[in-house]
Amino acid sequence: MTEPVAPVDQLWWLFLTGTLVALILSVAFIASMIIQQRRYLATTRQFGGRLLLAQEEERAWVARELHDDLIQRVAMVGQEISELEGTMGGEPLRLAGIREELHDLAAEIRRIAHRMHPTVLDHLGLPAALVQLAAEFGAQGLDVHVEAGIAAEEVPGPVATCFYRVAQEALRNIVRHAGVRRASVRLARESGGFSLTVEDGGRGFDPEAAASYAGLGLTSLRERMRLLQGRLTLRSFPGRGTTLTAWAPLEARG
Amino acid sequence: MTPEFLVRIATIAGITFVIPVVVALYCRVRSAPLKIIAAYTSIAFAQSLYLVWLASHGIHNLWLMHLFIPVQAGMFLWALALWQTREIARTAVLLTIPLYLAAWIVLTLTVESFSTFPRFVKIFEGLLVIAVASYTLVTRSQHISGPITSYPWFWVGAALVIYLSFGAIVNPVSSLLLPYAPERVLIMSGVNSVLLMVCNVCFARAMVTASARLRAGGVPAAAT
Repeated sequence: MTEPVAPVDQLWWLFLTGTLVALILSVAFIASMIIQQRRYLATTRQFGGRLLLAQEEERAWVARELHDDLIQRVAMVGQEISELEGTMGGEPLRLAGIREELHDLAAEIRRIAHRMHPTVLDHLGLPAALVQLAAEFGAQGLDVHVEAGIAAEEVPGPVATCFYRVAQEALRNIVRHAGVRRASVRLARESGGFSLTVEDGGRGFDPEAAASYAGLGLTSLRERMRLLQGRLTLRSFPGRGTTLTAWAPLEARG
Repeated sequence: MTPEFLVRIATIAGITFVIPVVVALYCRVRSAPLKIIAAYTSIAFAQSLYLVWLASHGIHNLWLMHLFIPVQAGMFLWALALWQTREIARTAVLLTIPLYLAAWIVLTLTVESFSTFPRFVKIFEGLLVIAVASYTLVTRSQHISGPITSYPWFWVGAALVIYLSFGAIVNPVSSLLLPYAPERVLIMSGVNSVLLMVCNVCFARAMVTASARLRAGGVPAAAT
């Protein structure tokens, strides 16, 4: 004969079982959430990475086509017009106008091709590409000081492309919003990786307040950096300028 | 486990309320929901100090537990409401606060007794907050681009779900067991204290996470 369990004991065991089940369920809920979200994130990142890579390749291809084919053909038409000018007696002024127009068209195509994919990045590397970028912004009235503490061949291709886009977007934002005429770009080896810092002493802003209406540019750059297992850090204070730092690990290959 | 040991754990758990407050001040937390959580932990710390003081002077202190429950529920629900992604959900959660207060008044006046632990109001609070916290976790996790653990609402939501899954029933069962097996009430109180410590550490982690997210480029205030 077993002794009957007292009501207090029954309540106690009921309570223990109930709380244990509740605790296990809640922990399992949280854990499943983390696991599921990690899987989803991995898939999204993989897809995002492929998309960005495909976009870069597409841009490079279009840029090459524009540069190697279209510009050459425009140049050839220009050459033919020059020859025509010599042989035809009538309307030389009109032909000169067309030639001038073609010259401008070629310059415009070259500019678009460069914006899509700077060939200097492939041929001379990131430091030279940054100097060229600085010169381009110089033409817009922004004096950019470039300091490159590493050699071009040290920076892997995906990091170079990514850093170039970061510098491009940051300088574009400085021209649009900072209200200054000076900025600096610093490329260095830092904390076991590569870092690119774009700094200005402009009007700055409150990152928390601005984040709610942040454009696609910064979001896309942050995603690019994440794909390299790197990070993008933005520091800004109203009236005290803005510093954007991109960091990628040494082994980053994209 | 001796009663002294369990009382010590409960005291330490009470002290851990300070951690989120200190971290919030150190990290200069600016997000409204986290400010509410920091305010809650400050009030909870003061309450636990007063509970200890009353107990050490042999003064009945269970009434304070009863009075603290609507404050706790209101602040948790308010913080969770601010983390809702949809306006209608935010309004619905905010509306549950006066509804809960009304239910608390009715239950306190009719079935609760200040001479024992809170029972029905605690279960009601636990279920309500767990439901809202779970809903917040599920809906918010669908709109994020980074690891879920890098968001403060995850730490607060997870802490509330885990802590209240036990905490919601510890008081009612304690009130039933108290006259017959006070030593078991102490054991339950010990487990509750451990979970409370975990909860406070999670709150502190939420403050750190919000600060780190802001440093990394910021996110909308409501998202932190």
